[in-house]
Amino acid sequence: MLTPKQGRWLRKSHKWLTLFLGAQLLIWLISGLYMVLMDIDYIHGDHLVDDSRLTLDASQLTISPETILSRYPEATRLELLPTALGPVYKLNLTGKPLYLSGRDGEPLEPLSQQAAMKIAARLYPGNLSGASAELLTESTPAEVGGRHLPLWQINLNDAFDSRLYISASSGELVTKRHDFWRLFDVMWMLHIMDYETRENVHNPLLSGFSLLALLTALSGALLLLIAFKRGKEEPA
Amino acid sequence: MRLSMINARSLHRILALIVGAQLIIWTLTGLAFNLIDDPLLDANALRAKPEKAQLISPQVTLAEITAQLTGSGTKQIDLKRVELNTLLGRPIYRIKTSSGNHAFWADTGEAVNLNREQLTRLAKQSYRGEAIFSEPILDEAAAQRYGGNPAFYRIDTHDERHTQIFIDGQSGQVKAHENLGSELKQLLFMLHFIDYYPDNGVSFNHLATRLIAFAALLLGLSGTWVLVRKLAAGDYISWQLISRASKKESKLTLLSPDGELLENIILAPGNLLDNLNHDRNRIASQCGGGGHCGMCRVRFVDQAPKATPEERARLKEELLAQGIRLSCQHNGHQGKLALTSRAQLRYWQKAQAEAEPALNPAQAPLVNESSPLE
Repeated sequence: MLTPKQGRWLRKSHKWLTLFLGAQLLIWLISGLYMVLMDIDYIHGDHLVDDSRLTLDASQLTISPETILSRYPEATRLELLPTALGPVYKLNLTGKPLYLSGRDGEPLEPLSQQAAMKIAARLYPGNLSGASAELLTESTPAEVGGRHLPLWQINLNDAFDSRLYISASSGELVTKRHDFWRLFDVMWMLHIMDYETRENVHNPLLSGFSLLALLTALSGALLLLIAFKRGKEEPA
Repeated sequence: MRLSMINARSLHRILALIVGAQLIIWTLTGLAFNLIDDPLLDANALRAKPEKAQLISPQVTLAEITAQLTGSGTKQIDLKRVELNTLLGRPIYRIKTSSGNHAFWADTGEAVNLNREQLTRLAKQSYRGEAIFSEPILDEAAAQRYGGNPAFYRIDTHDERHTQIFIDGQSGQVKAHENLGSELKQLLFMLHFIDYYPDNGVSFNHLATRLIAFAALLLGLSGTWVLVRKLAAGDYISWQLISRASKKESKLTLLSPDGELLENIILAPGNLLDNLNHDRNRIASQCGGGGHCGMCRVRFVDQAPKATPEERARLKEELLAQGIRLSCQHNGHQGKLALTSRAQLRYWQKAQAEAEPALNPAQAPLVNESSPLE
């Protein structure tokens, strides 16, 4: 199967490969375990939002889609969305979306703090008494990504630092974040070894380590061919 | 073997047997994700975005459509979202309610149910390459995969990468393009996530995945423990051995089981088994130095080092008391070592004979024709 020399050589390769890779191998195993143990819906923060009660109230819709379309004939798409503040029209015009009130068809005013909290209260299934709101206008937090400014950050001030992010221009929920999501993000970064953008799985550092990890796994697997062998009991 | 004797190395070996194959799969598929360019794993390279056309004013009002949805008016329907868009040059309402998704032509008020010609036109609109399009084929499995309506169709393009276009005939939406590349990606995910029934998309929160990931972590931790122990024991680098070797003063003396001198061996950095076997195979070993087979045992004539857990698991107490240890478990030793059995002595003799055939008459080269003996 394996000559004694091959066996010793394999064992040495495995020994030195694991010395150099050990830390990253453990990081892969720990981050992988964390990611499979944590329910992905929970990580996405689905427990922070219950929009099942959020429906379009036809009685509040005092202006019809046809009327809106006659005012903005250049629109390429029209959507009608339920928000805690009543129905909202979202129009795709050349460039960026336009949000109009479903009550009077006028462009939405930027959301006040009170309105943002009202929306959060409608979405969050728990108690919001300890929550605070902050209007973000300068830069989108890294944990949100993309461009969504201006943005209301609703801090639930709970044990996991949960936050709802609500667009101040449309009243739509942009995203929700909590500490387990943040830890998941760190685990993902460690798993793919992209410490800058946390999204490039094609980085050369990962290539090098993966290749060596493959050699480690293969040398380990080959060692299994001899690892369980026992010599005969001989009198000393 | 008593439970307490299951040392880190045994645990590592047993766990490797259980999750070893998956570790190779993880590293291979991880490497594939890392090395293969995204477009090669993506079926959307030839997918065209729907054209952005100016909306056509609907001839049927939203109120009429919702009235149609509620039927006779007895049942309550919760509207979640309404969209007005353009499909195949006609206005279309797409309505999400608490009971599902619906689509209606906004010019006639009829529920959307695309015919074959419309399905093919839509498929062609969504594809930028040159291809021959098959007839639309009802595809129940795909409907389940993409959460579509029962009228869910697949259109094959017969292009180079076997692109298939999936369309929900009742929403008029092109749900997906698939091809050999996206199938490979799906396969890689399935293998990496250990999700062999990915009917509803690939997921990694399964019990099997969790158990294997946990076992793999234990494998890593037991391996780390072995590694740390080896580091501490100077198995990787021993400054003492290096300094001795540089002065060329370090030798071990190998004795037969009866205590007769066999040879002196100059020590190099590394464990005792490697030292004994570095130029010829003096000592047999079947596990390559894992402390498991027990064949590389030697007797320390003077002071024996402290026994490792592997040795305590493998060697009886009386052998340990005699100074018998496994040579793979200790560093190069300056002093006297004795073989422990006749069998070991025969093995050593064989190694000597193979290494220096001239010394052994039985294996001496054949006498050639020019020999004076002729």
